[in-house]
Formats: sequence, C-alpha cells, structure tokens
Amino acid sequence: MIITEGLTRKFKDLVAVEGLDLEVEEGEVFGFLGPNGAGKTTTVRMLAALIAPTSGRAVVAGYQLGKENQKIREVVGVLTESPGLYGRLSAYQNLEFFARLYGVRARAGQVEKYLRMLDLWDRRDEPVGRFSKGLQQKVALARALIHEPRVLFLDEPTAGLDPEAAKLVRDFIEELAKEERRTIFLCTHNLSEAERLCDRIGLIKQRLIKVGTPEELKGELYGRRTVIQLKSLPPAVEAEIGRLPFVEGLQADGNKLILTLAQPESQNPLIVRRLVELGGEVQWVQKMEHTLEEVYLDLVKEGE
Amino acid sequence: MNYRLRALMKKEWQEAFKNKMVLFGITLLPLIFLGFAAFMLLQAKGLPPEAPPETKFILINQTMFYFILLPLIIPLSIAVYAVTGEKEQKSLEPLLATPLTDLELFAGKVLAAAIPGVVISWLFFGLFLGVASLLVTPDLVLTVLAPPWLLAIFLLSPLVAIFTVTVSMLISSRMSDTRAAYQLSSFAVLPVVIPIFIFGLKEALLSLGLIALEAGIVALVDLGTVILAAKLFQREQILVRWK
Ligand SMILES: Nc1ncnc2c1ncn2[C@@H]1O[C@H](COP(=O)(O)OP(=O)(O)O)[C@@H](O)[C@H]1O
Ligand SMILES: [Mg+2]
Repeated sequence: MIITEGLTRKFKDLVAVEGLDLEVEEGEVFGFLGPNGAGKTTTVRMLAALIAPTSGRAVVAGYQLGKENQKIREVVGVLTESPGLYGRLSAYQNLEFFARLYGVRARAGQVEKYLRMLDLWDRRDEPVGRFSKGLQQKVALARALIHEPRVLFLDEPTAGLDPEAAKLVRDFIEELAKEERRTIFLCTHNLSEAERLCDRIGLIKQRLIKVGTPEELKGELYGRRTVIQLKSLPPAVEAEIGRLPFVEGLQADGNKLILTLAQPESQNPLIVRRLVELGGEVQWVQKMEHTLEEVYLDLVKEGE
Repeated sequence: MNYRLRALMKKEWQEAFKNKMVLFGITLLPLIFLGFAAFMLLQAKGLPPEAPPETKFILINQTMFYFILLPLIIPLSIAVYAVTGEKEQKSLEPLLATPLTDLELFAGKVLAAAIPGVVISWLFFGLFLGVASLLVTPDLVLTVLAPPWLLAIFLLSPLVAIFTVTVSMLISSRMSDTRAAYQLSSFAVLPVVIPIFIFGLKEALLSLGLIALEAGIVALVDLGTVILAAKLFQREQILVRWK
C-alpha cells in the first residue's frame, strides 16, 4: 500500500529524512517510532504529497508520488500534528467543509456517521474552539476519515492529550485498525502506544534503523533470557550452573539467576534439574520480558 | 465554478461572519462612509449660487472618492483573516492535505474576499443613490450617474478590490499577528487611490479619461500582485517557508 525507495528530504543543509526504504502492506497498522525531530512528520508530509522529496521514490495506494499527487491526496487521510480545526465553526461545519472538498457523495450521512461514532452528535453545533483538546482531536480524526481514505496517516494522535483522552483516542484507533482494508501509518514517540496498536514498527531517526513486529524487535536485540528464583542462592550453585556448556550468559541478582540461552524451551528443564540436584529450592521460573523502551533507547543510541 | 472552490468560499464566509473585525469592516465602515458621502453631496447642494463652480466639483469628486475607498477597505479584513486565521488555527496543513489544488486555494481566498468587497460597495452605491435622490436636486443626482462615476464604480472598484486582496494576502503570509498584518496592509494599499484623490482636488469634475487611466494602471499593478501572490500560495511554500 506504501512503498518507498531511497526517500530523502533535505531542508537546506539539514537532512530530515535519509534514504527511506519501506513497505507497508494493505490493512496493516504500521508504527513509525522515533524521538522528536526524527523525521516522522516530514515523512508523512512527503507520503501525503504535501511536500516533495529531495530524492527517492514512493508509491502510495498504487499512485506514484510526484506524478499522481492529486490522486494520492484523494485517497489518503491525514491527521496532522495539531488538530487545525476552524475554532469558530461547529464540528458539523468543519466536517461538512472537508466532505465537500473531498467530493464525498451522501455528505450529510457521512458527517453524521462519524459524529455519532465519536459521541459528538449532541454537540455538533457548538463551535469547536470551545471543545477540550481531546474532543478536538476526535473531530480532527473524523475529518481525516470523512472520505473513507484507504491509507490513514496519524501524526502523533495522542501527543499532548491527558491520559483519559489519550485512551479514548487510542481505543478508537484500535477499532479502526480492525477494519480489514484500512492501512494505518501511525507516527508516535510513545512506545507503549506503538506496541499496543501496531502490527509492525519501524524505528526511525533520520534513517530507518530497524523494522519488525514488536516481538521481533524485542527478541532480536536481547536474545532470550530466563529468570529463576531460588529460596537461597549459594555461590557454589551459581558457579556450577555457569559451568553448563549451553549457558551463554549468567547473572546473579539476590536469589535470582538470570540466564541467557539459545534454546530456552529445551534448556530450561536441564537447568532446573541441575539446580534440584544441587539442593536448590526453585520458587519461580520466568521468561524475562523486555520493554520495547529498552530496545528503542538502545537502537536509537546504536543509530547514532 | 468547481465544487472545491465553492466549498472553500463558503467556508471563508462562514468564518468571516463569525469574526467581529470582519463584520465591522463590511457593515459599520461602509455606513460611516455613506454618511460622509451624503454629507459631501449636501454641502454641494447648499453652496450659494455665486460660489465658483470649482468648489462644487471638488465636493462631488470627494464624494466619488469614498466609493473608490470602499472596495479598497471592505475586503481588507476578510483577506487578512483568510490568511492569518488559517495560520493561527494551524488549519493550513489539513486543508493542504485535501485534493484542493494550489490554484483553487488561491482563487478561493481571493474571490471570497473580493466579491463581498465589490458587491457591498455596489450595494452602498445603490443606497447612496437612494439617499441622494431624496436629499438633493435631480441635476446633482445626474452628475453622480454620469459615465465617469459608472466607470469608477463598475470597473475601477473590482480592480481596486483585487489589489487590496492580493496585497494583504502577500503581507499576511509573512506575518503571524492578525492586527499587525491588518494595519500594515491598510497602509500598503492606500497609495493606489491617491492619484484619484489628487485629481479630485482639481477644479474640474473627474473625467472618463482619468478614471480609465487609473483603471489601466491598477489593472497592470494587479497583474503583478496576482502573479506574486499566486506563487506564494503553493503547498511546499506554505508548509516550509510561511511563518
Ligand atoms: N520547514 C522546515 N524547515 C527546516 N527544517 C525543518 C522543517 N521541517 C522540519 N525540519 C527539520 O527536519 C527534522 C525532522 O523534523 P520532523 O519531521 O518534524 O520530525 P518529527 O516529526 O519526527 O518530530 C528536524 O530536525 C526539523 O527541525
Ligand atoms: Mg512531528
């Protein structure tokens, strides 16, 4: 649904996005994760045919960037960084205006559908300038969806919202993601958001650092580790375990052993057996979870 | 006219009618000018018979001047707000993400400001004719309906309106504060009507030739400002360069 090849954008001497090679499938929720200034907004602006790439190519929804920009604008929807609503106009007027611009047939029905879906129908005639940030973001989301775009770009949809509003918006995006053919390109610097909503994540910091499912990203960097908690952990036991040939890494933390193993499914039982032989009392055996955050911070550092 | 252009113009007017500055510019201001114009005409009527005819001509010329000022001033607030309003609300980017073309964006904004400017000016000219026919003698009303006046109202006015709109859009695109943009634009557009004002102080009625000359000059200047402003109204420019 989105294919880019060497997509690059410079602002004078500053390279905002460099050599982006990306492939996003139809129906996928693709997370574009990176710190501030990483080039997320610039990428969205290029892919939505708002600004031109300095070099490189892209195909969005089957249309060639640069040659068929007008077509691209017709079939994508963009939720920009700030809601950018007309504060003096009502929610209804805001949506109706965009429905007109997109040439939506059955305009009134479409506007009503989204106002109801977002629980805004009763407040449709109030000027949106009076709405809370969270409500404004909902109206902006409805605006991005009003023409049923095939590709939806969401640029930091929950940034600056209070936790409650952020949750509402996140839940709504989750609902959208269930619609089979809707492709969503979600920019965020919020890891748990990316982890929760996205099928795949691309880590970006000027260049694309890594792409994968949240699980893959976590596994790839850290290998797989097992945590075993014992009632007590004498140093001799620790040394014995360290002598096992398949243990790639070993750390002791109080009464816990943290082991790095290549095949934990077959090796964990061997370790537990050995511990029991050595008189150890095993209380817990756990898989060590890494937050995406650790992965992210490490990768971003690595990319520097 | 295509549907996107119409949609944009409708939106501009919906917003304008909710803006106090714009409302003042399109209602109260013309009313005040109408008062001035009627007063000038009354002065002309009240002149003693032995007064030199030049005095009367100057008064009538000044009356006409108000109706050239109207299309200069009415679109100003709409045009300034059409640009700074979008910037303040950060609404340009979502707008530019739609299939609206650069030219439609530019034309929509220009027309949305210029059309009310011209139409309201004409409306007030009609009102003025009504008031004049009640207040002064038919021969004075006839001077106001002479060819130079009609050319000024129906040709010069729209040209002046386009000048105002494009110049204030150029200025507003460079400034972030609505009030400052409005003030600077007011100063910037005034010079275009100064020739008419100065000719008007001479001892003859403004002639068809003079009005036509002025219209020709304004049309040329318009061509320049329209091209300049249209160049500025491009997605890339707006998103990357505008402040
Ligand atoms: N219009 C512009 N002019 C100059 N530099 C810009 C412009 N827009 C973005 N940049 C720069 O490009 C880089 C990427 O910005 P951006 O895409 O907004 O990052 P993100 O959205 O990930 O925070 C930043 O260093 C930013 O300062
Ligand atoms: Mg950004």
